[in-house]
Amino acid sequence: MKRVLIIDDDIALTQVLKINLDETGNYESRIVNVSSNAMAAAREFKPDIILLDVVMPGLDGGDISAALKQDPVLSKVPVLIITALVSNDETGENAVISSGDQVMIAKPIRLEVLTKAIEDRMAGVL
Amino acid sequence: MIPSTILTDTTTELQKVLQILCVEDNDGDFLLLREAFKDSDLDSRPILHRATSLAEAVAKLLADDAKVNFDIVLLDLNLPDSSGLETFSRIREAAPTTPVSILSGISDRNMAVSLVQSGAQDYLPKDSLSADLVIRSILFAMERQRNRTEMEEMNNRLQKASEELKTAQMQLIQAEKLDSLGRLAAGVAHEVKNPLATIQMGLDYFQRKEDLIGETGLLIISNMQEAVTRAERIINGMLDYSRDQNLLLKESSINAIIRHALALMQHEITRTKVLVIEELQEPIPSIRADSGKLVQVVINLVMNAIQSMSANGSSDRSVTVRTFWDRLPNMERDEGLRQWSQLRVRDPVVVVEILDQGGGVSEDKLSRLFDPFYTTKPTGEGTGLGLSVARNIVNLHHGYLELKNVENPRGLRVRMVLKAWGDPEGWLPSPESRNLTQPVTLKPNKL
Repeated sequence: MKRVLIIDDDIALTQVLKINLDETGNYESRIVNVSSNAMAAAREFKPDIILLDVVMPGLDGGDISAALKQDPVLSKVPVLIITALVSNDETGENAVISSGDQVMIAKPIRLEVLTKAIEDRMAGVL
Repeated sequence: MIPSTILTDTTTELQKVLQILCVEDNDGDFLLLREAFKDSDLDSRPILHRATSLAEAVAKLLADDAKVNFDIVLLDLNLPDSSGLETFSRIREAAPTTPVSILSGISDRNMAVSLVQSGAQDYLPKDSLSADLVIRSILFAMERQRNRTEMEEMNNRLQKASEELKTAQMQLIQAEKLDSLGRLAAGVAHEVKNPLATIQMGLDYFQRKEDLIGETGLLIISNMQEAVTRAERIINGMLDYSRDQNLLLKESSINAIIRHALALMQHEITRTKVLVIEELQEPIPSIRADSGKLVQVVINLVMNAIQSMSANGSSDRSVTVRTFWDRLPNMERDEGLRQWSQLRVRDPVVVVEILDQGGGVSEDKLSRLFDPFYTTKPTGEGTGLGLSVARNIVNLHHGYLELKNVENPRGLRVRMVLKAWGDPEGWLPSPESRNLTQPVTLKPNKL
């Protein structure tokens, strides 16, 4: 079971996302809706992958991403940025757009596309 | 009101021999006119050319070899091959800038007067010709024509200036509109796509629960799925629409953009004899940009640099166009503008630096340079829109423009800072980039 940390301020989305991921039987996920709690939750939960929203009140995805890079342990955890700021026609067929070491996936997203991206990201393919 | 100098000028002109085309079929009238010139007290007698028909007159006026440049046409309206208004119109057509004075008999006096109102410079009553009258009439006719030409030129210039201003205004409005349209579209898209994501995830859940929701439920789910897909397509279309009009972002090379811009300016660079020094760092991280728009910006900035030096009358000065990359050391955050593409501390950035030696800009003017319609150039040379449009374009790229006076030699340094596309991990920034220390504020520009 892979541990997925979901950092997103959209409560409805994270709830349904967690149910979907957990029901696959492959993942155990935890939700963080308040981004200032994200780092503590990440240190405690020790995720195998982090799903990160960008536009959030307070600390945003960019801040969290920078903080994760500063952390000796968490900097090694792959991050998948899930954002409505890019759209599927930009991301191309695999629904993924990457800039440097950042990998972004567009909202809204189909579960099967997301789980494939999660697996690819953890395998280092993305 | 005719200034006195005009008559003096025209007299000088008369001294270099007036060439007069007299279009007159009646021998008697022509002889009378010739007598009148003989009596004149001009230093050198005008040369009188004669045409006896409209066809001959037009041929003389249009003669290719142009041996004679007629200073004035004295025109009888009633010719064997033409009469009245027709005669005048045809002569005007053949020589639009040559003054025409109508030779009128008693019978066509009214016509002559009305022609003067509609373009002829003067009329001469054939029945009372005198040397004085003829000469004076010719001088005035020529003067009127000159004024008329000047006025037309002035009018053309005015019209051109007004058109330029209109274009510039349109550019500004367009840039502003695109900017706000783009922001609006991006904002709406973002806010709608988040709830859509929730619905999508919900649908994915129920699609797996066929046994729970039954056939009807599945049908509803599939309709809902279609609705989500359609909503997303509409939003992406809206984003495309605003994006297409404002920026066509592609992975681009800043050095290629600069070389392209400089190539387009080659003529201007050669004409102004300004040396343009390229110091383009290679390799340099790529940027995500609308290269066509950035070419416009670079042309604009380099043109300003060149013009700042020609305004100073300076020769053998140069403009340096430099590129390098660095990581942003210091940034003021703007809470209102959150985007993944926004610049942050430690972000790799690509910098274009344009340095002139034009003496710089006083500090009080410096802060106003981005204001629309503000210009330091002489009247007629700058619309005052270039920099504000340039800044709009750079802002749309989530970058910023920065102006600074520099010394040794004194001039203005313009920096365009753009986010690098991809992280140049392991690359060393160039030595030039070490002074990227000024905090900058990324605020939406107020227009």
